[in-house]
This record gives sequence, C-alpha cells and structure tokens, in this order.
Amino acid sequence: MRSVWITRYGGPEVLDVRETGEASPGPGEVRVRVKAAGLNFSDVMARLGLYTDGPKPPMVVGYEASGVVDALGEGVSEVKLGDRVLALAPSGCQAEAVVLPSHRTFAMPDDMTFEEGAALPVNYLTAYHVLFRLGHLRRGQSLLVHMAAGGVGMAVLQLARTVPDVTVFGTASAAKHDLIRQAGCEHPIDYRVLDYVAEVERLTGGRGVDLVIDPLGGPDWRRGYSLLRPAGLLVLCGFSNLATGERRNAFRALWQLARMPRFSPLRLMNDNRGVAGVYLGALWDEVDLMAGQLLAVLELFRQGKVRPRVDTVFPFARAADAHRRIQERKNVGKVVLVPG
Amino acid sequence: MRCVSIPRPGGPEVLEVREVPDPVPGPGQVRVRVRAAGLNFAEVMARMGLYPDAPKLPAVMGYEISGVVDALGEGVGGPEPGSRVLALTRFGGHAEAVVVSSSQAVVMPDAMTFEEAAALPLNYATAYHMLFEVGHLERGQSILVHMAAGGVGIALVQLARTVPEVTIFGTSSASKHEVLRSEGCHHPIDYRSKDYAAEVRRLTNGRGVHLVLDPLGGADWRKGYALLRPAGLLVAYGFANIASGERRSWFRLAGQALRVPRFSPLALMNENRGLAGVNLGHLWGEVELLMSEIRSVVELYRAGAVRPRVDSTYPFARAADAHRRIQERKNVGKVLLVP
Repeated sequence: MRSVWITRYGGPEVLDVRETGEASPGPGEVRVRVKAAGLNFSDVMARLGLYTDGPKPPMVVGYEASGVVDALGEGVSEVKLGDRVLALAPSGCQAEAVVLPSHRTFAMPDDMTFEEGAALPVNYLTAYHVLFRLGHLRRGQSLLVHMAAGGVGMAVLQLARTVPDVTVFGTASAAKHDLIRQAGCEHPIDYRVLDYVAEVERLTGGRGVDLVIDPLGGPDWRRGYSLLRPAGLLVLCGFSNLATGERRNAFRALWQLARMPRFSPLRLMNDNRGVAGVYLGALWDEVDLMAGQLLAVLELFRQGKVRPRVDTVFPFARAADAHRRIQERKNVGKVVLVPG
Repeated sequence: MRCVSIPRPGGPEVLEVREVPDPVPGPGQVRVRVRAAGLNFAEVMARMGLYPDAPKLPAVMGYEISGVVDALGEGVGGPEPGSRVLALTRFGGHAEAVVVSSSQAVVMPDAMTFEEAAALPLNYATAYHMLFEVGHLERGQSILVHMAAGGVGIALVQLARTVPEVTIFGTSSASKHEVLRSEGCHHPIDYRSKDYAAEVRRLTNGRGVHLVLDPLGGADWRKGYALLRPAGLLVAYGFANIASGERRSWFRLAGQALRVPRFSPLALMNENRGLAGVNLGHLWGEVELLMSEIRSVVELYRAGAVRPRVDSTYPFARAADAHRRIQERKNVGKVLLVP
C-alpha cells in the first residue's frame, strides 16, 4: 500500500509517497481501506520537528480517516466488512489502509461523504471538547475564536450555534469574513488590520468574553487572557505562531516562547479566571470521553446542525501542496488527502 | 445596634463589640434584623491584616446573614417586612442589623433554621460556583476536596453528591472522618499522617481525579495539579497555608509565596489540564450570578439534597473564640455569630 511519509524534519519537500506491505488486523482490530484522510496543523508541526514527544521520521502521520472496512480481526463483531466508517488513530491514517482497534471506528451517517467524514473527527472533537467539556457554553455567553475560518474554527462556529444567544467573535483575514459570517460568526475581525483585543473590548463595552479559544500561542495567550470576563476561560489549543514559515526557525521559536505567559494560581484567583490546555493527541487513552463526544457530534450531523466544510482535496502525490495550503493559512475548512 | 469590630490587625483578642446607630435602607434596599451571621476564613485573614480586599480598619466584617426584614427602602416591592431571609452583604454582616439590596435577600424555606440560613450563602455559592460554573462535574467523575470538613468542604461534598456516581476524596484530620463519611465523602484522608497525593494515587490506581478544589495554596497547588486526570481542572480558591498561626508571620508568608507554582501553557496543553481561580470577594460585579447560584442551592435544600452544617454558635461577645475555632481548624461545618 502507499502512504505519505515524512522522511525527515523540514519543509514540505520532505514528504514522499512510499510503498510498503499491508498489515493484517490482529484480535479486536479491523482494517479500513482509506478513502480520505484529514490533514491537520499538528501534522505540519510534526513535519517541522516541533513536537518533541512525537514519533521520529521516517513516519506516517494522520489522526483521522474515512473509508470502508475490508478485513476483520478475531473477535470483532460490532463492525462488518463493507461498513463505511470514520477511523481515529494516534498516527498512520495518511495511507491507503489503516489497522486499528474496532472501538476506534465509528459508523458514518448515510448522507456523509468520505471527504466530510475525513474532515470531521479531529476538528469537531476538539471544538466539542473545548466548548462543552472544558468550557460549558451556555445561553447568552460570548466567545472569541482565532483562526475562525480554519478547521477547528469552523467547527467551533457551527457547534456554538447550537446554543441560543451566543455571541461569537472570530479572527480571520478579510477575504474569509463572508464565509465565517455565514457559519455563525457575528463579529469577524481582520487581525491583520485591527488590534483584535481593542476591537473585542470596543464591541463588548469593555466587558470581554466568557471563552477565548486560542491555537496561536505565545503572546496571544496573554492577550486572550486579558479579554476574559469573571469566571471566563482561556483555552490553549495549539501554538501555530511557532510555525509561520516553511521551515523550523529557532530564532522565531525562541522569541515566541520567551513571550509566552506563565500562569500562577494566585493571579487566577485574583482575576476569577481559568486557563486550560487541550491536545487531542494525548487524549487517545480517554476512549470513553472521545467516543461520547464523537457520537454527540455525529448526532448533530444527522440533525443537520453541523456539516464539515472541505476546503480542498489533494491526492497523496501532492501532499506537499496540501501542507503549504495549511501552513500559509489559505484554507477555509478542512484540507483532505485522498489516495488518488 | 451592636456590631463586632476589628479595630486593628492582630490576634483574636483585638475584636470588640461596639455600639453604632442602626443603618437606614436607601432606595432599592431592605434592612434585615440579624438573627445569625456566618464567620469565614476571610474574616480571620482580615483580622490578621492578610486580606487585601478587606475594608480599612477599623471595620465590621461579615458577608452573610439570616434574619427578618424590618424596613424597606424606596421602591422596594419585597421581600415584605416580617419575611425570613438569608442575604449576601459586602461586609458589615457581624451586626444586629444590616442593609442590603433587595435582590441580595432570598426568602428562606419554612423548614430552614436561621442558623442553617446564615451558614449557607458564601460556602454554598463558592462550592456551587466551583463545581458547576467553573468546573463541570459530571456523572462518574472523581474529585479531591481539601479541608473537607470545613464550611466550603462540606458544601462541596453535599453538592457533589447530587451528581450520580461521583467519587469524593477529602482531606481532614482523622477526628473528623466520621462526620465526613456521614456527609457522603467516600475516602476521607488524614493529611497529618499520610501523604494525600500518594493516597489518592493508590486509591485511583494512579489515574488521579477530574477536579481538585484547593484552598490551601502554595506547594499544595502543585501537588494537586499533579493528581489531575486528562481534561482535569485544579481550582484554587484560597491560601490557608499562610494563616496557620494566630498572628501574621512575614517569614511564613514569604516561604509560602515562594512555593506558589507558575504553570507553563505548554505543560497545560501537553497534559490536557486546566487551572482556575475563584475569589468570591472579587465577584461582586457578578452578584446576579452569585444570587442565581444561591437560589439554586436553596432549591436543593427544599429537595432535601443539601443541609448546611453548623459547627458552633457564639454570641458577639465571644467572637474571639469563634475566630480561634476557625483558625485552629477545629470546626466541622460553619461557625456562626449571633447577637
């Protein structure tokens, strides 16, 4: 089978499609013939070597795929050959086939396309976890989401809309404002032209917001914290500021790290505020939590309340272009890889 | 009217009962003839000169009272004079009469005593806020409550029990374990004879807990953080470790302050953990939120799910003994002052 390999740390050119033998499912496992696989910012970070605790190259990454079950291991009864499923794995999904425990597959709704299926798990799990498990978004509250037109951003907008009277502020470049407005972002803010902190303060009469969702990192975490209302929560869900160039840049990384705030409980107490981190890659062992949230999202899909937005579909051979699209923040919604 | 005044920072002996004129309710306010008033750790800290939000001394402290409405200000529709109410007040509660905004007075259920009512507002609002507004306690989760036999501790245990299948670990000295167990704490831990962190790890097979509620501060915040499961939250809501003697000690203060951890966002992210701080004294701007939380607790009282536990009741003249009881951590439940 063919897979997308990160052959070494570096720019998009280090990606390569290679042929390897196909694995067979062991007891309790299934093999999924991949129709589409999701690409995430974290894959770009892994390619750049910015995940110190991740696997080392050469490696195949990819947390999520959609496809058809084509082999069953011993003792698997709840999944059948030919089932259309979503697959969630710690790595290895950007391949023609992936073998994984059957409880990490989820039946796809009939009217969901494979591209939508591949676009759903990571973004919607992250968004659901942030809004309803770490935060608990309720009627009348307000939130600020960065990279609102990105994969997680769009999922946040759609899920926030399922709660009545929520006011959403979102940062994105001006070209994407129409799209995020349609998805439910009441106040799109062009962070390239305006100071988003001043803008949110202006629009809220200085009161700030209940929830800030920040995948940018570094000094933005400090700025987001300053926007919180009492009992508000800042969610740290990435550090994309580390990865704005094509290659790892030690100077930029150090500069970003140096301007990162550190949080003291005393300060949090004084301010009645909270800070929480989320890294889905380290939540794989919380199977019940993840499964419950994914099933909740699939139910919302069936009700027509959420629909993953696919930005672009690239064949494996053009994985480098797919990485560039995300890294340059050109995507609106999900970038998907297909075996092609 | 008489009130309990803190004339200057010092030990419990500085407290004195003074006579002052009755307050008069302004527009939107009611006057409550106090039957019982709650005493909290914050007032002990204020007496020691360690509470930055206290009014300038001399001052009358006291955040919560129960009593009977005896005068209405202009434009107040209720509660009617004669109503039994509990109320939140920003200072001034340790007195025979208190004036509060009518929206800060809640009519008491008939079955509730004045002692229970004075024991309710602050402890239960704090506990409710932490479990259900800041935290998000759900079926099947586990929590660690420090000072579990204290006022907020018991409220946390009772409120956590309203969620199905929650497992509660609570620290307190051994003599209070029976009471804790009867309130619903599954695993009382004697922090004096055992390392509570090791004990929680042992009892959870190393998995830890979803929520840690820590009013101790300093080095305990780091210990509690280390006990969190993925998606877990440490809620810091006090710094009792700096007030374990009777008087202010700059040495102890400095030692504890140095041990306050500062958490890196990268660690929070990699570990899927969260931190939050709660200081009800800084939530007066959100008093509507606090009152809605108190009303939720009063409903739970009506349903028989919670019952404030009164530790002891002291007349104003013995306020010093009441302070000592809290400071020496002898109380199990609320310490009250009565006129």
